[in-house]
Amino acid sequence: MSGRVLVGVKRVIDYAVKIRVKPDNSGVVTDGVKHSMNPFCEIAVEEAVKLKEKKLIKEVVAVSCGPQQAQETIRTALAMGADRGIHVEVTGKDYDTLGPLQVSKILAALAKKEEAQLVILGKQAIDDDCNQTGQMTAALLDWPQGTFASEVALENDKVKVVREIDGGLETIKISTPAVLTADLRLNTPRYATLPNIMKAKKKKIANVKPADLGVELTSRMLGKYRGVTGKRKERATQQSRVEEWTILPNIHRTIL
Amino acid sequence: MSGSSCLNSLKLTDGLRFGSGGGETMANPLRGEVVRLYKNLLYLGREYPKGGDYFRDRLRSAFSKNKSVQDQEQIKALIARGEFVARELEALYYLRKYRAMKKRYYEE
Repeated sequence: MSGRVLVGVKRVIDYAVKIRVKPDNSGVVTDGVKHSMNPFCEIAVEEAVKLKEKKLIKEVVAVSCGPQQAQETIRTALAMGADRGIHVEVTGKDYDTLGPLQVSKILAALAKKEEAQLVILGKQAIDDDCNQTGQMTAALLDWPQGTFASEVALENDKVKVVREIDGGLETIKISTPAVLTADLRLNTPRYATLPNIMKAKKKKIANVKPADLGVELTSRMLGKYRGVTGKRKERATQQSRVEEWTILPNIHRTIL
Repeated sequence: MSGSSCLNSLKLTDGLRFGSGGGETMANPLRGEVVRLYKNLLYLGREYPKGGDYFRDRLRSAFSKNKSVQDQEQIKALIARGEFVARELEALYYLRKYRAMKKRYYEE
């Protein structure tokens, strides 16, 4: 087994940012808005790095699809312990229509090319909440999948996965190569501290185009859903932010 | 422990840019560590809930207050405290994120 783990990371609008809908209702304001790595992707990276620290796998490769800025997300993964990165360049209209189907095609092609033993992804992205990429990637590769993983144990060429499902937990044993998607309670992701970010600057990020992988990015979607009107959405996110602050006063007082 | 006393006890060795510095010319061997700690905390503080500026001001004043500490043991203790604050910040950020995700995606 190659001992290589591919981790997919997505650059999304930061979870704490107040989302604003564009005035023409065509989408969400993304210009100048703080972006960061999808929280579930952070958990996926942490799990891969943990496996490497336990010496169960040899190399962690972080992959992200998108424009130039996707490299920042890969840098964060490198700072968390990934060995090298692959930036799949997708820009403009292709990026607007980039969805789980296209990303899973890219990941499947990369997994084959890199001879990955495992592909670990976050279970879903907090911007589109599709929860499809992991499953589609496994289907395209015809690999077993351990989704909603809250515990992963690698034993030689088999993986024991405890999954969080409706009604409780399910334990399955699947053979590698396999695709795993990380759920919230899988682990506690480490913070990418400044010294680690400095060290990560030496690590390499390869640049790849989807065409190089033989992947076509045409979208199968016919139309875009208009969604909830701006005002209602804004009020909803504001409310949850207020509640968040009232829960954490004690921690604030301890720090400063 | 109260948070402000924690930051106030962090130290700053001579020769650093800000603060008037007494004009001492002997460089303290622990100076590098202190600078590293300061940069780390500055980086961590950008995401502070009350605002990165708020944190930065408190950080600077806390370091300046201990400008003139010379005793090595004392300096080491203060650096350890600074690292404690850094771990606390990481924990804060993690908890915020975890609770937000839990609330959004899991029925309570």
